[in-house]
This record gives sequence, C-alpha cells and structure tokens, in this order.
Amino acid sequence: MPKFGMLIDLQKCVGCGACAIACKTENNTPDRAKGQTFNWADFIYKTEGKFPKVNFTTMPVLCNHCTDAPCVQACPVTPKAMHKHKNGMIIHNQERCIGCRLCQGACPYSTQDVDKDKAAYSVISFNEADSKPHGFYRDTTEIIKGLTASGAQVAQKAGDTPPHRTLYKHSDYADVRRPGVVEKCIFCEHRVLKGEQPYCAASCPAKARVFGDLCGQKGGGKTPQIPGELFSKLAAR
Amino acid sequence: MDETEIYWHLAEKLKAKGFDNLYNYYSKEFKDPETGKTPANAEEFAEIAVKIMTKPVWSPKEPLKGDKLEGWEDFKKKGIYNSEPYKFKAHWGGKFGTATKKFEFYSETLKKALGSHAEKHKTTIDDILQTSGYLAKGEQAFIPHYEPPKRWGSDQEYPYTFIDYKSRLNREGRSANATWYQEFKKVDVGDESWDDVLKINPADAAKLGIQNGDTVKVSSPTGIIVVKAKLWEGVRPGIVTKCYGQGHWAYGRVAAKDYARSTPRGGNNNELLPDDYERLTGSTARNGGYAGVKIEKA
Repeated sequence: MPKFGMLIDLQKCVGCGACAIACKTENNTPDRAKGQTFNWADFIYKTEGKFPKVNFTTMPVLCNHCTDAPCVQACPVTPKAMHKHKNGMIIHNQERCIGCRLCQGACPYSTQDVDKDKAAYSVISFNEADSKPHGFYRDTTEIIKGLTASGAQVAQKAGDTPPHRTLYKHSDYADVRRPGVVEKCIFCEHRVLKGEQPYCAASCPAKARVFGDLCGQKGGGKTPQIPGELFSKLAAR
Repeated sequence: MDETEIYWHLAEKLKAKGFDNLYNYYSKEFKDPETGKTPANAEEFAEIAVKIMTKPVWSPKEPLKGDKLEGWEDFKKKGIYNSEPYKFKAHWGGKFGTATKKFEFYSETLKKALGSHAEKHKTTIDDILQTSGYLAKGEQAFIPHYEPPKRWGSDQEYPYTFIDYKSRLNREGRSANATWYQEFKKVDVGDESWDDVLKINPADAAKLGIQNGDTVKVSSPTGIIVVKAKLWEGVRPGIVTKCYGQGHWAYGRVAAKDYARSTPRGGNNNELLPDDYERLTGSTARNGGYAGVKIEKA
C-alpha cells in the first residue's frame, strides 16, 4: 500500500500561480465569497528588507495532509467525514459532512473567515448552506439590459455550471461540491488512482511539486513514485 | 468567426444605413480565383479573400521550390505552405543582399541609402540621422555603436522613469476579464489581487508625501492616469512601475470596476506612453517609447 506525499522544492518555485490555477480548473472551485477563498492551492508572498538589499519570498500553501490531522480529530460524525485513507491522504467525504466547520477551526492552515481574520489564505473553504455554489455562473444580472450577457447565460450556453467543468467521479467527493459542506485539497485522488499526478504537480512548469509514494514501493505499476534519491536529498536539506 | 467576416458584417450594416460603397466593393470585386463567383455572405467573403491572398502558393505561376500543393483544397487540408529550407551558407561567398554583396561590419549599404536620401532632400547624412533621433555622426553611424535609450520628458519636469510591464497572467492586453486573473494578480511580484497598483520606492514616496494606498495622479508628456500607489522596496528609487492591461472600461464586468458606468479597475498605461517610431525602418517602438512621469497626490 503506497503512502503518498508531496515535496515542493522552494528553490524551483517562483510563485507563478500555475498550480493554484490548475487546481481550480481540475476541481471546479468557485470564486472567493463570504470570507472563503476556495483556493485549495494558494500563495503567500513576502517582501523584506530595504532597497537594494531586498528579499522576495514565495510560499505555496495547500492542505498538508497531516500525519496526525487536527481536522480529522475535530470531525464530530461517525464514521468521520474528514478521514485519512490508507494511502495517507486526508479525504473529505461529502455525504457524511454536516457542515459544522470544526475542521476549519482546528486546522492550523485554515480559518472560518479570511476577511474577519485578515488571513492570507485558508486551505479549507466552506460552501454556504443557503446558496448554490458558483454564484458567478448563476448570476442573471445584465449590466446593461438587453445588451450584455450574464454568467448564467454563459453557463446555459456551455451546458454546465461552471462552463469549464472538469467531470470526475470519486467515492467520497464530487467534482462540484454541494451547499453546506466544506472542501479542500484531496491530492487529486481521482487522478492518482488512475496513475496520474495531482493536477497541480502535473502543471508546475518548474517541476517544483514532486508527488509520489514516500515508501518508494511499486503499487501495481500505476503508482507515481518520488525517486528515492530525490526524496533523501530533499529530506537531508 | 474569422476576423475577415466582421468586415462583411460592417459593410452590410453600413449599406443598411445608406452607405453601400464598402458592400459594393466586397460583393462585386472579390471574385473566387477558381470559379469567378462573388461572395453572397460573410463566410464566402472570408474564404475568397484568403484564396486571393494565398494564390501564389496553391496556384503558382512557376513551380515553387518548397512544398508541392495540389491546389486550394489541398492547401486548405494541409493548412500550411513551407518554403524551401535555407541551406546553411547559401548566402555566403558574395551573395549577401548588401551593397558590397558581402557581410558588412562597416555598412556601405546604409551609407548608400542615407546618402541618396540626403541628396534627394538636399541635406546631409548627419541631418537625416539627427532628424531620425540618432546621436551618431559621421563615420560612427555606419559601424555598430551605442545609442542611449530615448526617454520622453526631461529629468527635471518628469523625474520618475515609468516602466510598463507585462503581468505573468497576461498574454497581450486582454486578460483582465477573468475572476481567476484578478484573484491571482498577486503572483506578479509586488502586486495586489483585485487591484492595479503603481509601485513606488518608499524613499521616493516619502519625498512626494505619498502614503501606501494613496490615489496618485501620474503625468507623462503624453497623458495622465489616476491610480493607487503601493510603496514597495522591490522597485529602484527613480523608477515607478505598473502592469499594462489594467485600464479596461468596456471589456467586461470583471475587467471594469463598473461596466455600466465605464469605470476601469485600474490605469491604462497607454495614456502615458508616447507613440514613437524607429525612423529608418518605420517600425513602431513597442508601445511607444518610454517616458518619464511626475507624480502628485490626487
């Protein structure tokens, strides 16, 4: 049984945003709303120092699929909605989720409202119970009546909400989440089970994100591997 | 839709308003080179236009040295004509397209061209060079030499050099109408999401009495924009910088701050940049020259 992990080589990452945008493309996440970012992958940027001795730091952030995850501990339902799969991934089951948001509170990388807390990011986001997701593509307002299109019209003509929806099936989570549940990075398990990389890792132009089996075991020939020497080299830094 | 079709539609609309010259030209003068048929609609017009323009490759007078095409349908299917590949050193040995037929470090070709141009206008080569904005005089003009970049606006009146640059998320100028673009605008080093900021070094800002987030009026010899200032150590004192593609007011509801009122989200760098040209070739300088600006609190 593989134990999956991801390494991000910060020497290679320049903060271009490709991973964050790729994730939104693959997982059909909506736009920022009501203190929720819906950016399962995000960035923190820091400028420090005084010209000409200035440092600019890029830090990609995402769910860390913690070994001993506080979100799993906090999840109050039985069986847990937020749970760890045998392959090490922290997966969210939307059927069992009651939308209590204790996971958002427990997670050290999340907050229940990024605006109130002036937080740069939150890896877990919540879909409001009283509104459908993807408000932008359900909005019917015509900015200029009889002349401009609305998001809803675009979605209707494209035949889906969102119009660019990536369809996938998975045992625990849907490709577009319903109201009243949280959502977060699921390591693209729906891709990994087919032998593909998570979409962020596949999209990084610098190959800074390395995903694979930490144990280096071959899982039926389909499991992506982290090359053994790369793993020990990075772990030794 | 092919862009050529738009002109047909415009012609139809103009005809409906009583101006039929363009429609008459398109519908009568554009004849299919194979059948002689004239276009009845936009799609036919676009295809005939492309057929006329590309006839030298799909129906050449003499056989061409590149790809062999069996007429228009073959060209349409293949989608490309490749000319004969260049054989290495084919132009060597006295076959360069220069006045001496050789590679020229000292350009006899340029000397000849400028000389005849000067004679035609009853002036000197140095005068031609100066009028064209070059500082080189005499023999120096014909050999590779340094020319300083041309900055519009004096250092005294326009003390800050304005550097216009491309966001990581832009292709050309029309990328701002996507929510994900706005959300991840922060990937541009020093920039802010859902905003357009002019980056100023804090030392310069202090001299100008500008605080972070202030609205500032930026003026160049060409024009003015009003934009938010961001104090940032990552920009050199004496330089101010901002992404292009931010001043859209009619592109869409995301790119504009208020589409109904035509209020842009940010500043349009094109207002500041002068249009300028390289006078010997006539090429446009990319987005004009570069300009100095003066900055005041708005």
